[in-house]
Amino acid sequence: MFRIHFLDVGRGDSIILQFENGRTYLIDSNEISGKVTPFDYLRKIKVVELETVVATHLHTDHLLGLQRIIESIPNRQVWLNEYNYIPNEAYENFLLALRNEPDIRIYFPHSAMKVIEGKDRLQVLAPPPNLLYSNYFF
Amino acid sequence: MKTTACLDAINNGYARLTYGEGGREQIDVRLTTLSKYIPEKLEEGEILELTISDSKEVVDAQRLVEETERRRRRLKALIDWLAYGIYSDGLGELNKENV
Repeated sequence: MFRIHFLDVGRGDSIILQFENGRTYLIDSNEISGKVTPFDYLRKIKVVELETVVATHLHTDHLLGLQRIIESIPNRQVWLNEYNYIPNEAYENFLLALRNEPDIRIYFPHSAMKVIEGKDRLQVLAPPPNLLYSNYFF
Repeated sequence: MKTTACLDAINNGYARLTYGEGGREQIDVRLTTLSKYIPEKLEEGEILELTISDSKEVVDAQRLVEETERRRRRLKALIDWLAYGIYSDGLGELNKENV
C-alpha cells in the first residue's frame, strides 16, 4: 500500500512517501523543539534506507535535519532546487554532508520529469525546464 | 542578547530570521521593524547582527556584508562542485576549514 506521512514540524513541512515497491522518499525536514523530528520519525517507522531526499527549496525550515539524515540513513539520491538560492547555515551544512557522501547522486528535477516506482508514478510540477542554472547564478 | 542571524525568508511583510546552532532558532519579525535599523532593501540570505531582548524582540540590527558575501562564495563553490564538478577558489577555502 502506498503511504504518505505528513509530519507537523512547526514551520515548513516534512513529508514521507512510502511506495508499494518498498522505496521511501523524504520531502523536506525541519527541527523545532517540541515537535517530532523527521529523523526520529523515520527511525520510529523503521525506515533504514531512503531512495530519495528532496529539498524543495532552500529555506531553513525545509532543510533543517537533512544533514543528520544524509549522514545517518543510506540514501541513493538527492533532489535540489537551485532556483531559490539562499546562503543559510542549514544549506551549507547539508551540502557539506553531501560532499562526504560521493555515492549519492544529485539531481535538479524540473516539471518535465516523471518517476515510476513500481505501479506508482510521481510527477514533478515545478520549476519549468527552461530555467537554466546559468540564468540564475550571479 | 547579541547574535548573528540569517535573513532566511521574506514572506508577506515578515522576515524569518534564523540563528543558533544550524539555524535552529527561527523567529518572524516585521520588515518594518528591521527597517528601523537597516533602511536599505534586504534580501534573503543576508547575515545580520541582531540584538534580541528577552521577549525575542529585535532591538538592534546591522548588516554583515562581508560575512554574507563569504557565505555566498562558499555555497556557490559547494554547489558547483557537487552538482557540476566545477572547482573554484571558494572550495579551497572550505576544504581548509573542513578537512
